Amino acid sequence: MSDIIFFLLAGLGLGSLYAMLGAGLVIVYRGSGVINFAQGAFAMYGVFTFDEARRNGYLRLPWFDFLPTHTVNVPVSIKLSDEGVSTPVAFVLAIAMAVLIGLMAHFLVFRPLRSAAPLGKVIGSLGVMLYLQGVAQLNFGGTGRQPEAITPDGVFQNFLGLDKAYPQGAFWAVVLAVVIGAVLWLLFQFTRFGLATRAASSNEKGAVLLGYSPQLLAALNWVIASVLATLAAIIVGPIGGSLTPIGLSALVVASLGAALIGRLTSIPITMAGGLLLGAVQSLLGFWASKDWFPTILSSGARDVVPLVAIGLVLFLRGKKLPLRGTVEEKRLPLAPYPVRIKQHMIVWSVIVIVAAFLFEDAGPRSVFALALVTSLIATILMLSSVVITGYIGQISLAQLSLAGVAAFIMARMMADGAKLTPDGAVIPFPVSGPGLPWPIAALIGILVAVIVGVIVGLPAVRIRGVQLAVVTIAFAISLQTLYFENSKATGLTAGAPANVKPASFFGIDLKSIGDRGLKDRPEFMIFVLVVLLGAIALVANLRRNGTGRRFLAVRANERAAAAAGINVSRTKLLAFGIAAGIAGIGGVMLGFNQNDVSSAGFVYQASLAYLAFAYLGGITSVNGAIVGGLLAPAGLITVTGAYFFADAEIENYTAILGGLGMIITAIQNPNGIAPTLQPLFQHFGRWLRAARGPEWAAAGKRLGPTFVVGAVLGYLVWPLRVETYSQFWMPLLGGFLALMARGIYKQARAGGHGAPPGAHGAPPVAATTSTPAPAEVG
Amino acid sequence: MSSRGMRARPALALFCGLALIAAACGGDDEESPSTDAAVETTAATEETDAAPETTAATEETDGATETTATETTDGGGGAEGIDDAIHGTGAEKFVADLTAASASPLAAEGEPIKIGFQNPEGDPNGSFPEFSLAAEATVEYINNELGGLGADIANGVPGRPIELVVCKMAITPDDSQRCANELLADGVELVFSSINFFGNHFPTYAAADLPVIVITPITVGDFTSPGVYSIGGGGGCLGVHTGLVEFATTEFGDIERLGIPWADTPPGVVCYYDLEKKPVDVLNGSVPGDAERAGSLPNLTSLGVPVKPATPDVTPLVTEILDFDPQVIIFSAQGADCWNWVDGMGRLGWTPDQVPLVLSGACIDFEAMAAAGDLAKGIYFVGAPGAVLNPIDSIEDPRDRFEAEIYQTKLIEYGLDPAELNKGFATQAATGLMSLWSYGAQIAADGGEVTGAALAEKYAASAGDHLFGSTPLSCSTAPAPYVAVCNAEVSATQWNGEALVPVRDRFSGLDLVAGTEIKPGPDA
Repeated sequence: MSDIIFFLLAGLGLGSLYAMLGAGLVIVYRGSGVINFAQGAFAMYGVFTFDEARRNGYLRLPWFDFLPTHTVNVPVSIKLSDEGVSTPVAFVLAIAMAVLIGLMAHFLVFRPLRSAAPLGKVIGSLGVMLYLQGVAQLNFGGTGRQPEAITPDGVFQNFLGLDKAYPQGAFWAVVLAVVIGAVLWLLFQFTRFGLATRAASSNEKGAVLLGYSPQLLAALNWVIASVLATLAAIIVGPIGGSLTPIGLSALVVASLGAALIGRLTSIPITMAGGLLLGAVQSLLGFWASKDWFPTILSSGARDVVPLVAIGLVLFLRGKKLPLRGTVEEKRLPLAPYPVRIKQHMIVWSVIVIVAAFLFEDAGPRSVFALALVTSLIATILMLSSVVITGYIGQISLAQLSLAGVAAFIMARMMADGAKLTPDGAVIPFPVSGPGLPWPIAALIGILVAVIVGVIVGLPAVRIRGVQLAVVTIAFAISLQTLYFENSKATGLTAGAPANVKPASFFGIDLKSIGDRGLKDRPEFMIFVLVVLLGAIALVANLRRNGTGRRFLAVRANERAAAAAGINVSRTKLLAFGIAAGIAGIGGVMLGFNQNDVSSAGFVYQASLAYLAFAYLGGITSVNGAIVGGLLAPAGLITVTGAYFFADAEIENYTAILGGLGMIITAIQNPNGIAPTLQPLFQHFGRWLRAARGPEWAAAGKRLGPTFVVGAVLGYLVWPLRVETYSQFWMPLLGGFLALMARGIYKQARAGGHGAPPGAHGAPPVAATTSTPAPAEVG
Repeated sequence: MSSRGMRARPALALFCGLALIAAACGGDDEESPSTDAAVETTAATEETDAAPETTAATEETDGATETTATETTDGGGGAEGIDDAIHGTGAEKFVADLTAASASPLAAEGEPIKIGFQNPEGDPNGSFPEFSLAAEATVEYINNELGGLGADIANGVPGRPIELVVCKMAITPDDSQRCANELLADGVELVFSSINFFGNHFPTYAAADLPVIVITPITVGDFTSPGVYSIGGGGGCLGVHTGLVEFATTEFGDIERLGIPWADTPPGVVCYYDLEKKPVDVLNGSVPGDAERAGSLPNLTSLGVPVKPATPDVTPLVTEILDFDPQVIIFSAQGADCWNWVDGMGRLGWTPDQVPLVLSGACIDFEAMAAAGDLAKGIYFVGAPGAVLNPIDSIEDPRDRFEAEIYQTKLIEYGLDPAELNKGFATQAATGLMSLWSYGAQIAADGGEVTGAALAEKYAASAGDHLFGSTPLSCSTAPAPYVAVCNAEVSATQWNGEALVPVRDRFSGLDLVAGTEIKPGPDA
């Protein structure tokens, strides 16, 4: 018994970190309606600022030098001392930095997003997290930091008579967390500011009518949350040993569990929930090493605790959880009605097939073959997000995990326990299985993904919006911990991947790797293309038929849809099933492409990235999925950039640029890239068909100067930052970018940021009528 | 906007990556790698780029070379004191060649031989630029002073210059394969894989018969893939984990209680059960084995506690281990996790004087050790790397001293930032490239043509071969299923607060698993 008590107490130190971060999440949610996935990143930047000032005497500012010159630079750090500043000064600097970050987050990101759709806010907070991680890596380095403790770090021997030592740091962390929690409770319970915040949280319009500024309240709450995160990391961080940008950011998941226990409203209950989570995690960690503990759970038992808490709270109390009111909340962009799908599928198929043969055995250019395949498969995965988020409005952060389920099941169904490869090489850790042929194995994998997808969708019957996003991320982590990484469940020993046997079709070998090792086989690319075309046809037809219209009706207004006779629950589950099936197809194709599956390929963070790419591309349209696929990791755009600008060292800035891209898209262009570019392409296509000599001359006169300016800038600006570059491609790219910028500018001036009519705050698409939504070509 | 900014965020990479970042000893530089630092790096690169213009470079080098040569002579006179039997086959010639090259540098000539280098860089989930920076500096050194690949230093015959093709990858499986595809398309003859969390790049290289040298083996693929040569010191867990048990059960008398916190990762599971728990059971006689010491410690018991990478608070886990009242604690993990563990033990009042702690060589992180202060004094390390990072004056072994001098002077001369120099991964990259040079010279001496295949044959046939800054290379003796492990001999050192003091040289615990069935998990 004393062991149980002690190990519960031993987890309180970490629990106090969950508690304070969770309280920050509650404060931000009440203040501005945002589930702040960047709360851990706030803590990270604050404690790193503290440590850097104290250790090295630098104040590192939360931005980067973006000017492409060697001579004129944006200041990114201030040298305060050669030896490092004193602890109080470092503490003040860290708090000041937290205030600055809180204000920046509010005024630059979340104030502009105040009336955005919930997905926009999720993307915004993920963008902030990515941005801060990237800036931290540039400014502080990616290595771990072990900040000195500001609390006593001695030991209580024989703590409470339990015959064990207890670190004083953990004790003081708990005490300070409780004190801070009490102060916050008093602040929000008994001050005018707290009253106003609670009023705005319940009814923002009412708060406005009472004379409060919801945005000022929101700004103050962001600052409080940011400062709280920094305090938490400074006080509790040292007991966690070495702190890293990613590690601290990841703590937001457990903190979400605490915040949900507190129903996103109660700071005291959130604090208690955080402490409880830490304690239970500690006890489970102790029990996990015991012989009697189920081995299938022993590895991930600790990690699953917050997820179970999230799942239970959301499922059991979902409809009772308060959704924060806002003055205005915009909807997702309209889902354009696909037209001329067949024609465009034929055209693009021809282009892809030509590319497939063009890049085969093409020397260094062969890399584009794999890049194209990667993009095509990513497009399939993003189509699943189009269905689940774009069509029916449910935010799922688990789509790649569902793909992983299909891939793992397929690989396991294909496995036959062979101890040798076809080449005769020894398989050190053989995987047992029925050895089914690939079509059956793939089908089983997809079916299992559909079943799991429907299970993931069950909570959607009771909850929606950001809360559903939280529960799906909990599912994704559970799948990762309890299945992908669990050798008992997968049968994969020692992290060895499960081999995926290549597909074949009537004697045609559809393996991805060619005889020379390159992944440039046209047969495989065409195989992927055919599967993608099937998925596109499915999604496009879904948008056009009655099922799709029911999806859109549910997305627009669940009550109205129910009143119109739509079974909302069944419709949601159907959407989750279809989306999971498409994700499963993507997972199966990923398996064929990579030739094996392992847990590392399907982790929950990757699902976040895929959702972000789908959002950037345009989450409500097939075209958006295609653009998202092109942007995907190791996709065509990435590889093209690396091919032409290999020495640019862009990789050092990619997290920052990615985060900024998500933020800017969420604020400026929630429709995504595809709907914005589509009119330009349509216009260009029509012009091309009609253009004759005089039109070409006129266009040259009109656009030529812009192109030349862009080309000159491309030639001049780039080498100021890097020493080697492509003398031919940079001016060309600069010219085209200038033309594109000009087009977007013109379009924005003419039509309001290039959004399709009715995209912002427009009336929803009626469920039972064929309302003429914007058309999607291709 | 580049899509590379929006990398997928694999969790294995996340946890392992974070841990390994600290293993790179990169910590808290006086000048953290800000943008300004990046600009400085660019400037350094400019200087490096100029190095092939041999006149200036040679003049600078000569100045430094004299110092090196003199110091070397003081320390034993070039190859004097070097013994192939002790330092590995070819050590004497290696030292003699480098000494001669320092006196009169030999620039490489002819068509470059392309060598690929796949390295994770730029991703917040894990970025290890020190690998490629050290490799590039080493290549510059080889090309400008050591005559390139296939040089005959003694007779002044230059070899071909190395063209290092670096592919920087994000921590995603797709990007791992992208890099493999790009290097293959680029026509490289051999690939160095620094550290890779996926292992899905091997099939691409295997299909092209392209040999892969793994610098830091961590996945099961690194240990078991044919055509792969994992030269990292200690050979990953095969050498290090068995070595930890061997050292712990021989250095501190007949112990009865051994505490074993272990890294709870997919490969960590098999490494613990097969290479730590099983050797303990062999020693106490509960598992039969062919080891000479099998059953010699019948009272030996152990407690294993799984430690997830980047566990935010290890207090409960440390409590569990200390409650076991162990006489020795062994722990093999990656960088940051080691020092989290040490920190956690310190918070509960542990000191190295009370219970000896033996860590793996991957834990060596000079900055972390300095930061830990007295808590780190007296900690033992079992592994291979580290000697070249020691203060030169503190090194007694002539070969270690010579190689430390080379490493600490030449790589700086050829553009490596001093902050990067002191990182463990940088030393491993230099070790890998120097081994390539060494085998190139041997091939040329045998009258062969230096190609990727010829170099791979040399690696495959290695048996006790000298390896720069590490324990000898023995790919030919790798036991199944760990057929890719080339370096399972380890040595033991102890941190005295300033340097690693040798405790035991070149030993192996492989015997402890001889004649046993593989045990990849608790129920296997």
